Amino acid sequence: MNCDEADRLMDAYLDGVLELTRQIEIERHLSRCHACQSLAQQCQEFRSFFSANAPTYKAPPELRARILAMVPDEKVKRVRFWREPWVYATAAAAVVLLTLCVALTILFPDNGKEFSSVAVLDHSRSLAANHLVDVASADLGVVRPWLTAKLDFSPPVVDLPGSGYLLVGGRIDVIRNRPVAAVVYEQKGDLVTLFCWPVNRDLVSNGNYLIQGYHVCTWSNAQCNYIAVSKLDSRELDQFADLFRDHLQSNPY
Amino acid sequence: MGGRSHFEEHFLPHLDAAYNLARWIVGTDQDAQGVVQEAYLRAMQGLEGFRGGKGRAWLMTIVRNTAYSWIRKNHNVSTKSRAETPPK
Repeated sequence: MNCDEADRLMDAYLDGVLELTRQIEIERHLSRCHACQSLAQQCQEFRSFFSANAPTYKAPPELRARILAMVPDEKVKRVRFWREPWVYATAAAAVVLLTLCVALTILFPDNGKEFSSVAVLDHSRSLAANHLVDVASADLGVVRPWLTAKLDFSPPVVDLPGSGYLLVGGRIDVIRNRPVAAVVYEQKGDLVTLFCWPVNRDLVSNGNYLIQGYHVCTWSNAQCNYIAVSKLDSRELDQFADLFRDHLQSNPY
Repeated sequence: MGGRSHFEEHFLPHLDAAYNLARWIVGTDQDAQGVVQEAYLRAMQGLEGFRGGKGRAWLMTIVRNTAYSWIRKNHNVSTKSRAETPPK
């Protein structure tokens, strides 16, 4: 380093803001050059004198407020959000999720709604035609054998004692070209038709639907698909489904 | 990097020092406020280029340069000083 360079870097050196390599160079030069050494000393003395005697000013509050108001807030973040790595991670995750959903829909179609639409049609037709049941009885011993005799399976027909739901009877209906059991329950004038058929080709997915003013609840277990249709609200219908499932669990059919 | 919190953390604490320096160079309160405000604006615009490290020195350099530009523009005087030279 020569004297010109040392002179140029002197203030930065005394400020302590030089890069380490430059700092070492200037210190090496100072140790060899008396002229620059005394310049450094003069500068240092002037600095000491200046900081001891110069008035110090504090930034007025209005300046602080103005500068704070200038600081870019969330707006800048929003404008430049695409620079953030998490945006790409989220986008990638969304693509994966979407692909998965599409794949699942293709592999396991949500058939609950299709079946439900047919069930609602059957239910409303039974009401309109005043043909609620083929066998009207609150007696399991009557309804169950009757249905079993007409179908190729034995549907679970249950009593739900203490629940307020009473067995009205049963009939045979058709869902997707398949004869199914339709068991009708009543609670304070509201009817619930519970369609039931064995799981063989189709497994009905779990779901809750509102179709043509009827609430529908669908589910399945290892043996049967179930569709409950009613004017009851969805919460009550869910309760009914829970009661039914609990009853089957504790009294294996 | 960037954003409000980063700015508040690294540059706002030096506001008094920045104002003090500007006041020494340009003299009056009004002018010093103008210089500091412009310097902070420049610092914010250049925040992307700031890669951590000596934030205070970086900011003071901006204040100093802004102050000298300001003097040149408003008083039409020639200012030559070592202090004008950037530290790096």
